[in-house]
Amino acid sequence: MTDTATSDSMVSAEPLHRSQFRATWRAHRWQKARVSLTGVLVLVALIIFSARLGEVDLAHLWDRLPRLTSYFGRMVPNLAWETLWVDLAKWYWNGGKWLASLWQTVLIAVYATLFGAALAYIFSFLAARNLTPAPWIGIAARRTLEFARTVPELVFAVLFVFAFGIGPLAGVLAIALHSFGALGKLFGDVAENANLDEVKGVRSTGANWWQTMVYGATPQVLPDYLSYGLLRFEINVRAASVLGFVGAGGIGQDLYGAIKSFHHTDISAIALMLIAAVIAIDSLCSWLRGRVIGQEGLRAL
Amino acid sequence: MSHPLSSMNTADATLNLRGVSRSFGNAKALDGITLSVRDGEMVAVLGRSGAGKSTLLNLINRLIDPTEGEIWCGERNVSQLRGRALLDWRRESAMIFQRFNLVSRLNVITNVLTGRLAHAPRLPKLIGRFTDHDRDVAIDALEALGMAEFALRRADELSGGQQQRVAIARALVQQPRIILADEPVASLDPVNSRAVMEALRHINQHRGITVLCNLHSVPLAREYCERAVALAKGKLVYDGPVSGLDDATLAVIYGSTDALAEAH
Ligand SMILES: Nc1ncnc2c1ncn2[C@@H]1O[C@H](COP(=O)(O)OP(=O)(O)OP(=O)(O)O)[C@@H](O)[C@H]1O
Ligand SMILES: [Mg+2]
Repeated sequence: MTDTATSDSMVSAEPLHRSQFRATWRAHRWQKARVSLTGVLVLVALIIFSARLGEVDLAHLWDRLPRLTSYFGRMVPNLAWETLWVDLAKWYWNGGKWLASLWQTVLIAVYATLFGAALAYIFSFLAARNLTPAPWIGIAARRTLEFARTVPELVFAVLFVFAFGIGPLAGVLAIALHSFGALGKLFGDVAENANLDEVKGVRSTGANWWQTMVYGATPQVLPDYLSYGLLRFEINVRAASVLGFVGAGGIGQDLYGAIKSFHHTDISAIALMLIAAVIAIDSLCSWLRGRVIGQEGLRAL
Repeated sequence: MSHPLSSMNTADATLNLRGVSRSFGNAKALDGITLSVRDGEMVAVLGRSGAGKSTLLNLINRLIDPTEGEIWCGERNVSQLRGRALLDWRRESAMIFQRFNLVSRLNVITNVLTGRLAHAPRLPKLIGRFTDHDRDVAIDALEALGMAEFALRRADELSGGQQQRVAIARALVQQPRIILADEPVASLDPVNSRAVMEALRHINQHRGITVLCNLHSVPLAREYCERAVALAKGKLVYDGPVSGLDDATLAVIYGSTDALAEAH
């Protein structure tokens, strides 16, 4: 009421609130600019400082570059067109064993993702601030997840190889534990955005906490959980291939063996298989994710 | 054998609120409510927006706890219930909401079956297994509300009126003593509003279930309820027959003539 009255009577004059706000706005902008500028300066200083500290020497890097290329050169196998099949067979002389290792790597990733995601599913509801049964449980769950995702897979793997011996079990446990932390955080964020009306509807019937999560929250979050789970699987295939370096099973163990014993063409043979497998799995997963999201996307229209 | 949907309890079930208050921070949403509802009554709860109507029903179902006072049902101190006993009480005091609060991605029958989660056997229901008996009870309830043909449709594919009937079916399969309906028709058109109010009246009269119904509309209260209680700013300002809702009383309940016109 009063607003229209004022603007009617002072058509030409600039309303006071506008000029006032403009001043506030300028101050706000200036404040933000100062913060960003300070941030950039600190960052540049930190980069220079850490380069010194880490003895990063660009000249040295340049000097040693030829070594890297000659190393790659030695990895190229001898392939002639006339004897292609024989040469290929020679290059992949241990192909059966490597294929089995590759399969083991994929299985490590599958099991690790399944275990990690199952545990993350439960913890996401404990950790979500709006769904947790009690605030202290929420805090405990979030700290647990933080720990699990802060410690790198490699560290877990070294520990588990030490505890359970060399082999895929250590790899599964290490990746599962890290995935649990990473997925638990992502799942928890999804759960925090769940529609509480639907949850309340189930809770009001006398369902206990877990039932309320299963029937009230899960249907809402499931598509996002699946999508994140598939994404994690792609990451875990890569992690599983590296963990063999510390004895946690899979193709990485063969790759590490080849590097250690200077079997250069074996390195390239294994690496190529690995790259092909990773690309295939990534494409499969993104196709699946597209289907999971696509269906929901259509529903939303 | 009794009707599968009828209330299975025979003990005295008079609902008594004794000096019940509820604060959110410093604001008192409910202030010293003392109220008694006999078994089998159908009571309208009136009051303008923010008066505390939803808070009252949420308190009775124990979705939230009172900051002061006690709630009794017969010989039971409802406000003291914990654990299993609390879950049983929630089952006995079924809720219906303005926005239906169905799980949109679940189909109709599963939504109704969530009303059976507090019934034995509970363990298989943790992983989504219901008994044949549960399913029979659920489809009976849907049939009673004319919704059986929609049993396998997703809840969010239904119209508002249909969703509210599914929500009533969910409440029925809980086998409640009381139904707490929080503005069940506020999101519905007049035709669907009548259908839902008729259903509630039918349940009240034929199954003997007590109904407490928050309403925005005084005419609906007059038509479907015998008794009305009214809240204003968290306090009980009227408790009596709907015939006593004259202009003077309504002015007290709704504060101003503007709000009063809105309620008509
Ligand atoms: N969870 C909450 N947190 C803070 N304040 C709340 C909460 N729930 C209710 N309130 C406050 O308590 C008062 C009563 O709210 P309530 O929802 O019970 O009113 P109502 O009568 O149901 O209103 P409406 O007709 O709009 O649904 C309001 O002032 C509201 O802001
Ligand atoms: Mg309300």
